[in-house]
Amino acid sequence: MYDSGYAVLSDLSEEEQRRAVEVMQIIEKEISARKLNAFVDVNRVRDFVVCDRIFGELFLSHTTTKIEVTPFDGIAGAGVIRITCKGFTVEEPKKFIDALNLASNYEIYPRTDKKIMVAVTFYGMWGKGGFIK
Amino acid sequence: MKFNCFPIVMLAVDNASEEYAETHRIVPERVEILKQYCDAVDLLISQRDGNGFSFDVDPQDMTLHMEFALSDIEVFHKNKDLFPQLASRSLRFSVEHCDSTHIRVELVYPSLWEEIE
Repeated sequence: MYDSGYAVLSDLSEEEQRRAVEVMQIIEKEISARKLNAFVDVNRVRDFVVCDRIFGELFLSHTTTKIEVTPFDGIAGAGVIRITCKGFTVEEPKKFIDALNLASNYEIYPRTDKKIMVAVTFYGMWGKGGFIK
Repeated sequence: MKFNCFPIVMLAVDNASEEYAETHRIVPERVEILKQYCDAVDLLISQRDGNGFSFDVDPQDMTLHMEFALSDIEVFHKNKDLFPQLASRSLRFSVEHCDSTHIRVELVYPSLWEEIE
């Protein structure tokens, strides 16, 4: 079910590899439930997991933060990480922006409950049929 | 009317230059870079319904603190979008809730001054 790029996970930490497999299983389950002719793209899953880990580190100290990780978002047709918080400070901007740049796009906008939403979208986590590079 | 933050920034920069004239001198090349950041901030503010621009020089370390409100940040073309370019060049940045329609962004940039030997 996984493409030949599975080796791209080898440089990740054990925890990240475990998480990547978990994410792939979630997506496969959704693909199977929807009877889609689709394959998981391991490269995009890798980006998703790396980004998720960096956000986890960044927002660890923000106790009001809620991180919602959705590997298979039906509405967006992609994997989405949504972070809800009052605000955040980034001490390593380049690292953070590089992580965000792994995503297809991201948005930061205000909510009515005095919090902000950071929505980070990863398109191409899975694709229809055939071999996915 | 196009927003132009550079004159506001230079007022604070000139004040700081006067205040620290005995111990520090300004580096013109760094002012040129700051001008580019200001141009990018102007564009970002005009694109994202921005307002409330403020600028300060931190008296402790002489870093530059820019603050402004934006309706939101949307990044689709990473190499062209202004926010990631501005943020990745900062020493640190923060984003927080401002009101129901805006977020507040703070960008901190390195000092423009060097110590006089």
